Amino acid sequence: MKQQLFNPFIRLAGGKALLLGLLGLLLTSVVALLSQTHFNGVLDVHKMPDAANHIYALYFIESGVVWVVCTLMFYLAGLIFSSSSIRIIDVAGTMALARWPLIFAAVIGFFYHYAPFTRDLGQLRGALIGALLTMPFTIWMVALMYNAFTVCCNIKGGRNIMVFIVTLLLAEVAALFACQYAYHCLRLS
Amino acid sequence: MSKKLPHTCPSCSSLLNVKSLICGSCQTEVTGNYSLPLLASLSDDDQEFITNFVKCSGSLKVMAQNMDLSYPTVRNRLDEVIMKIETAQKNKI
Repeated sequence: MKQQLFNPFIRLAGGKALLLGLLGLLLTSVVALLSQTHFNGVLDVHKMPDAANHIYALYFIESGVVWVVCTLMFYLAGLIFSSSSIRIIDVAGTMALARWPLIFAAVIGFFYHYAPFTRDLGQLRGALIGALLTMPFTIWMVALMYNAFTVCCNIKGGRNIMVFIVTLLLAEVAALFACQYAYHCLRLS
Repeated sequence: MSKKLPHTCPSCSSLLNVKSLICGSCQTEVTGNYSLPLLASLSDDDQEFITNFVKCSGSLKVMAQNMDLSYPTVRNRLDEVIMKIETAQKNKI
């Protein structure tokens, strides 16, 4: 059970993982759209009311952009640091599958309301409780991402953890920039 | 009870050699000093993995299906066996 929750990649990778992962991303985006929760970074969960122009595609674009950035960054890290042969389909599939726990974070978004820069104590308390409730799912996702990286890239020894942490941070920065670029393009269109 | 072939010396951990071989049917015994073949120095699990690998014509995809494991898990296991073979080869030289 523990292995299925935290490391399903021992049995599941490649095309099957990719299909299940993409289904997860799609469902998470739908729930995120309904609960107005944004996943605009590898580790980011933000509850934000909709922009005035209601660009619903934004929720799907955010999920897609973050997944693509994660896949590329971890695949590159694998190519550089692993002596094994790595398949991009395994990295893409497992990274998509690793984002399944975020669907619960999106569901939690239904239960609190938060407007950025608000001074309303009730909203701030709600946002804090929301952040605390979504944290376990973010940690679960990171654990899944680590196991996905370990299985797919097979980097030996303690170097594995170091490479994972550095790549995760780089992916976070890259995803933020990529999301900003996507917002910019959406505003232009 | 199936016996396991010992590979390393319990005293100094060096690789063991074969001193005598015996014919199971006529009991003829051959003595000498023969080194173990490379694959025999691997564990039973590793030998089984190599046998399955050959049986699957070297297809990791087919192996993964047969073993109910993902492709990268089987590839990682193969990397492990390759590393052990390389270490065994170095020790033999």
